[in-house]
Amino acid sequence: MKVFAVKLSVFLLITYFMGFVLEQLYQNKLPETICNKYDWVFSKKNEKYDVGFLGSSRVLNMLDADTIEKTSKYSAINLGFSGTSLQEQYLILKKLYGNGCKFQKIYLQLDLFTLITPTLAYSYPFHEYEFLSDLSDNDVEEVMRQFKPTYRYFLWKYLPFAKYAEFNTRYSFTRVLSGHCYNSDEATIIHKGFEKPAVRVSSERTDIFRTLHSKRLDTIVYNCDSVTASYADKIIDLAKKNGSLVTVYTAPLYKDVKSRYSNHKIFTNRIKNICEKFNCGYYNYGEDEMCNDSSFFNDGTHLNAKGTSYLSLKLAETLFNKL
Amino acid sequence: MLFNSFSFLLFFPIVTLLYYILPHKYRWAILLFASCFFYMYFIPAFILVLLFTIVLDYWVGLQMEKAPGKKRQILILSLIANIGILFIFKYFNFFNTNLAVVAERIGWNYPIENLRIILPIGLSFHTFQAMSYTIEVYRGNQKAERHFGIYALYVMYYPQLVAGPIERPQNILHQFHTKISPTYVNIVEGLKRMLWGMFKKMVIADGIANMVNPVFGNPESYLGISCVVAAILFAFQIYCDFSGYSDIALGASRVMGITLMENFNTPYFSRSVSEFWSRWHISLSTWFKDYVYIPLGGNRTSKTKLYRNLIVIFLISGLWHGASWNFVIWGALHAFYTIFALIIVNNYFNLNKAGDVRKPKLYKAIQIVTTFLLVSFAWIFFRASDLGSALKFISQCSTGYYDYFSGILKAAEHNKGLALLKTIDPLILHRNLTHIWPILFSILILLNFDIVLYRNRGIFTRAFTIKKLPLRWGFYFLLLFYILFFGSFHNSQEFIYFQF
Repeated sequence: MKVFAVKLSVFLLITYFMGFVLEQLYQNKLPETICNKYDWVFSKKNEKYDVGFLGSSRVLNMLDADTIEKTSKYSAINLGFSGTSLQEQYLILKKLYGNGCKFQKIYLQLDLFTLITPTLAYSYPFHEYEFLSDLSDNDVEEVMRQFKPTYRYFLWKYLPFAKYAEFNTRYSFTRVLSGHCYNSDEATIIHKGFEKPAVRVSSERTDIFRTLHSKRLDTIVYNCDSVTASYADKIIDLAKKNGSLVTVYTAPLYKDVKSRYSNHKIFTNRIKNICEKFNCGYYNYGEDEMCNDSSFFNDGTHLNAKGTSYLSLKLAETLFNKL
Repeated sequence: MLFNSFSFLLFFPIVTLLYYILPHKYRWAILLFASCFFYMYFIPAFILVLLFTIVLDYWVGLQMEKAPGKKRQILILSLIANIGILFIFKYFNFFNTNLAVVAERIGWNYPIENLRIILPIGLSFHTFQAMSYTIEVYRGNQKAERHFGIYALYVMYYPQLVAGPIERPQNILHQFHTKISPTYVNIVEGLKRMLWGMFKKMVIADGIANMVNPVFGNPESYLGISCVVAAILFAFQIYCDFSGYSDIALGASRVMGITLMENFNTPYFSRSVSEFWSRWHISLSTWFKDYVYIPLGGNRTSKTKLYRNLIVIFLISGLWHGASWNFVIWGALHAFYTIFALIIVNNYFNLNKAGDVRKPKLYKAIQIVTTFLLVSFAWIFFRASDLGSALKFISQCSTGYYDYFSGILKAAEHNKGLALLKTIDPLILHRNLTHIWPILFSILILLNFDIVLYRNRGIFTRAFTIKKLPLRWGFYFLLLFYILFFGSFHNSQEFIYFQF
């Protein structure tokens, strides 16, 4: 057994060393390849923007940064990421500030979906694989522990290469070697982070109808999640500390969808309280007349191209007197 | 708990360490506790089903020894209880649905509704293992186990609890009683086998799953050639999925010094379907042979009865895998292949009398390929979600060849290299998948290993031995990092046989 113990130790030592070397290789090589919006946003170093729009898919697909720039002449970037919780949005913003990026103003999209328990709102609320190189950051650790089992966090942190092995389809060996992306998300990157709403085959009305009849919307009454809501405070606080003004807005929600949530006003009040606390401006497009017109919507919670253009113009108007 | 999970990566060394640290008299307890934890990791409540069969069959074993005159009745009681549980959880809805359909046809208002229950994981496996115990005690081949904990461990032993091998009490019970010291050979051979199993499951099986699942899910969107390639790849997927599981199970058990029975012996090198069944899922095939086929008369009976026995055995085997018509057809196809070979090939081509030695290699190769294709065709019924989907898939296999080949010819005029390769690619694999070529290359590694294994008559330790240490270790590292680079971790699939 002594022989076994010695051989096993040597084997593990070599494995550890090889893992360590590979991890260094990955960490150096991966940022060189931009494959998706996260890569693109995190590649920004020491850049200055007049305005950044932060949020989930209700920013990603609903805020055209090009339109904002053309209308207002202010430089804009869409920082919306599909299915991201406020916790993740906080980490994204922190990383950007850490990279030396400056924003005169941050527009933060808050609504009912962003303030409830993230696992109810999004199928995968924290994209941990986008933060694997930041595991030593305390905030990343805190969010990781909220969403992932602790042992996995430690495994990724202390076992070399484990984190890249687990997500090897995303961080493939071929990507590291060739610097080539398998599925580059160029469309989003070209439009300054804005992903155009999908063109639906079925009619818009059918989609809205489908959304309204989905079980999730019909039966669940949501409550505000205090931990998640505290990240709205953290985001605003972080932005202010980095010299950015913060404006909060609520994106439009189709009227019939909103009426399903009997307590939606509680969330509006909560958002107003946050804004008062930090002295931020607040635009509630959830009460806008466009919410009554299904021709602006792709589904109950997302705008179509027409709606996106309309909202982008409206938000651009608010920029003129505020910057 | 899945073998290919981080949880198991922690679970296995802890359990093994505790197993060896504890005195022999307590080892059964740590293994039983670990097995309960392993099983309850899926759906905890189902352990009650297991507990019921364990208590019943433990009592049955003792009673059969206590009252030999009544042991037939006691055995029947045990079989009814075990099969009854299996029937309720697995087959009730199937038979009930079909009865309802028949009733509707004849205008009878059928009142019984389907049960709303989930099939406990690995139910068919541990039920068959439990039945094996009572039958062997009945036959006098095995003494009734007096130690309740050890009997419970026999049914619940975690490496083979949810997907076999389906053990016989003679093979395993005595090993739980024997004091086992850790040995270099056991631990190293066990770990090697686990590594090989992980490679098969995580790289090949899960990798292929990502390729073929879309095709089986929506065959109408694919050309016929894509469906054919998907069917062939599925044959590798299921082999690597199940034999990979068995390798990990055998390896994990070997590390603890407990030897489980072999479950696979290079099945795709079989030269007939009947040979395939002596090499595929051996623990189940021998179970059916020992407890159903031979009691029915086996081979030593008239031809008509022999064919009947074969049909019965394959239909039961089909139903064992799943309560659905596609599994029945899958079993029936294998029965047809076997009987067809017996009637036509043996009678008219006189193959058995020729003798293996004189047959040229090409002839053997043709036999192997033919058997593989027949088995792969049958797998379509196994993989499909229902009979309708299987038939739709098969009909789709015959479409679109003209478009495909004319497309290639047109593309060849304008494209070369990778661009041309992408038009040839029958699964349109390049669209969403990153690891196609490494996975296809890993199939070659598998085939190469299976050839070595085949030549070594299925003896794993001989096939996996490379004498020079640097080469040996190089191979281990190659496998390990191949898994890390190309294995499925984040989107790992459950083992296919868990559902049975």
